[in-house]
Amino acid sequence: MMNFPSLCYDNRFDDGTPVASTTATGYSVSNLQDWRAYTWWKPTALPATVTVDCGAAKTADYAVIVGHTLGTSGATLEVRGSTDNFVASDVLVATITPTSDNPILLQFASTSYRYWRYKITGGATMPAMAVAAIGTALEIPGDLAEGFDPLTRTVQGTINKSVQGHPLGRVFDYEAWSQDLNFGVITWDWLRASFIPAWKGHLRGSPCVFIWDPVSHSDELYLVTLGDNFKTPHSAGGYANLQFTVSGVHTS
Amino acid sequence: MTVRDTARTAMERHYVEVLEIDLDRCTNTYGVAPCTATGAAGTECYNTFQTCQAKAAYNKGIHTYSFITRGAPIPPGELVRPYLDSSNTSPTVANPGDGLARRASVSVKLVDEPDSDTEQDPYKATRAPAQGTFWTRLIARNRNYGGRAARLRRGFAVTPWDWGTFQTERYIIDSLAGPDKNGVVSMTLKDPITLADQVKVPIPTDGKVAVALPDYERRGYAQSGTLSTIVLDTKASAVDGYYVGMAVRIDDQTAAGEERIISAYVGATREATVSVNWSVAPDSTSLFSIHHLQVSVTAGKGAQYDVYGYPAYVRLGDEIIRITSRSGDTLLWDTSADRAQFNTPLASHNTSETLQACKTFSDTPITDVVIALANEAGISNTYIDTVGLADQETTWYGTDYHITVALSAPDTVSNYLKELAIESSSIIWWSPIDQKLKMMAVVPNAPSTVPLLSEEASIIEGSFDVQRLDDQRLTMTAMAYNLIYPTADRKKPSSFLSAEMFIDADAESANEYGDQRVNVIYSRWFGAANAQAAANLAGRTINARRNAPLGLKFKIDPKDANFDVGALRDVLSNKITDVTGAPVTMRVLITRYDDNGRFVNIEARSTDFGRRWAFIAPDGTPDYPADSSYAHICLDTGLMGDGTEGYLII
Repeated sequence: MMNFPSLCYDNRFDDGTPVASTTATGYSVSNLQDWRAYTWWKPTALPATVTVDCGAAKTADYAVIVGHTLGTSGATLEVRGSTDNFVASDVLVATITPTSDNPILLQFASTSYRYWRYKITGGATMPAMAVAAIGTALEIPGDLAEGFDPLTRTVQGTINKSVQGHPLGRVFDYEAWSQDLNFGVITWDWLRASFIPAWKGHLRGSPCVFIWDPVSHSDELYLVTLGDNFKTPHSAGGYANLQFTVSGVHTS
Repeated sequence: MTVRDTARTAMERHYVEVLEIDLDRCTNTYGVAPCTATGAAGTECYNTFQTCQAKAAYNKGIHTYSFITRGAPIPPGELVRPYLDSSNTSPTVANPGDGLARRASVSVKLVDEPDSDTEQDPYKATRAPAQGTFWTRLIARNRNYGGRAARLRRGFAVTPWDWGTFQTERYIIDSLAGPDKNGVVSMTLKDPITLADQVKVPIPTDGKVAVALPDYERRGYAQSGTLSTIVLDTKASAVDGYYVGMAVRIDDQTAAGEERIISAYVGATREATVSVNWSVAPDSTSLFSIHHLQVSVTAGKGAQYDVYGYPAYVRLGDEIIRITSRSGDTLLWDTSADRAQFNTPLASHNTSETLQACKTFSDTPITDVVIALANEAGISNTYIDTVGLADQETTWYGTDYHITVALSAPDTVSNYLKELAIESSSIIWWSPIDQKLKMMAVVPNAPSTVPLLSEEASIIEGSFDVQRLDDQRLTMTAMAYNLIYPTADRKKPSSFLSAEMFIDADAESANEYGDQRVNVIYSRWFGAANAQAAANLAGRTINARRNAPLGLKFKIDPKDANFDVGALRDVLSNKITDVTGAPVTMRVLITRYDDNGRFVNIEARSTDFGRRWAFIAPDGTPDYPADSSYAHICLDTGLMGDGTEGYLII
């Protein structure tokens, strides 16, 4: 279970080819892997599953969904693991029945299976999902520096007033969220062994989900892209600071 | 109140744009009948004509790509790509006097990304991962994007998502460029009237006369005749059968006016047998003429003249001939009267002359002419405000504006529409919001209450501007009409047989403007039967423009933005006052409506008329002043019973 700010990018669905029980035309199951909150997978019948064969047992400790209509549909989402492609082995790892379409983070004890599966049951209408990942979180072993603001919102828009000064209305385009993150007391070993491989493997080029407080505010998720660079200035005691920028839009 | 109205009138609105483009996509599945392609897995097409490997089996369908404003919420479960960076609209501007409105266009900027290709490639699973980006691949696979439909949907994000808050504007794709050095794709959309700029009517035809066609074959006095024959003059052809199939017409004296087809001819005796007996046998006083009833065109060109069906009209030089049927490359007509149609001169035509098909209208309501021309340009009735045009026809045009004309030289539909609009004191424009081509007579609308736009409640600060459009002022309008024949030179005033003129001598007097502002229109559309329409144009134009109209520009908040070009609104501003300086409410015609989501740019034109006006009261209407909603003309003093100004009949 995560305790520190974390980046969720690892995805068991990248270890094989996801196979859906059913797929509506134009809603390819591969859309779940592309980290785009506007390309969707949608089944044509419930219960529905998306299964991946990782080739060997692989570990996961979270599942994250950004962009879905499970809440509107009234469906239940299950994360399941199996050692034999769900013939005799079919283990429920985590489950949720969302009450809204806000992003979902499911945390569970780290466990390994060769076969991983999302299973959707119930639901009055056919739900759709945009970004889905089951994986192991990159937990940053340090606290956010003072000044981090998870709630700030920047409105892009226009205010209209009449000739005689009366307010006529305000038009806004979107709410942006961007933060310069600064983590202190990070070990050089962790940076070299965990962060830099993650940067090279995913973070520098693709979005990820950032969770600033997995313990108390696990529902505050941001689908973000990292800036063009990260910095690791040396700090006292043989540690480093880790600095990078995340930016995205509020999704809830 | 609609969900759109609720969102639009809320104090806070989350403005969103969605662009939809309809590109061609084959409905077949690769290698599955009726598709005959046989490529191996991984070499399939992309279901576009560009990439099709079995074009004979290609079956065009549509795939809609959707793009939403970057940063806007994504409608749940819908594939709407957040690529829309910006849009800039150059809207319709429908100024009275211009006739055809300036075409609307929208410049759209879209961002690019690598994309997973799941939307574009139906066979993605069989191929190696795609290279390139969304737009580079889309453009490479869809070169034929021009002219395809596009819709710009402007609305407001609400929770839960509701497409009902959106208003859809319809355009066609004009150009697609990029990605540029910044990865930005530029797309230009234009309104469908753009099609009228590109399509010519009549459709150009290029068949040439294969065998010379004389004005008539022979003319002379008959030697004698019976009820079934006529003996031609002694110098007629000595060749047997020479005149068979031609028409012989008696032009003067005995049997004058009769015409028959020659079914047999004996050269030695000059005796022609007619297919149907004469009513009166010709004799030696009968002046006859013999006429060809067909013309051959160059090989393979005959079918071009089927374009408008039969009877068809073709122009040869200045002459227009009515064609009743076609046999291969031979165009045929029934009688000599089919030559020299529309008062054109009968003439001989040699083999160098080109036959041009004509588009004709006969006693056709002007609104039907507009519809027909728009149809020719590819604008179907779905996108024409046929109901509105019918209403305008009933209220303002009527039989005075029925058109009889032959269009004999290809010209753009937009030119025709512009002429028709100007000559009928109308404006024609494309309404992106209603997704219709519209036409409206520029006359004051019936007295009614229209919404008020005031500086207190609607007009955005710092935006109101008023100009006196003195260049629009006129003191005299004349229309030359009744063209001597459709192929006559329209640049020569002498080509027109009739004219109507209206002069406002008061306006030209030294106490008023002291100048002459002359507007002369030469009409190819109005004939002798349109005298009243010509007089209407002259009179109404001067009444509307004897004083310089006011042009207004201002911005309004979206809460008041529920109308369109062509609407009437009252405007109250401290910049428009009476002689005492008190603000006065002015009724204006909306000529430009540019909604960018944050505010709406408005341009409007004052609707002053020379005199107050109303419809003439129907039977049973109470006398004035018990009724004041209709025109009660005046007393013989020129004034109403209460001493106010009398009405003007227009």
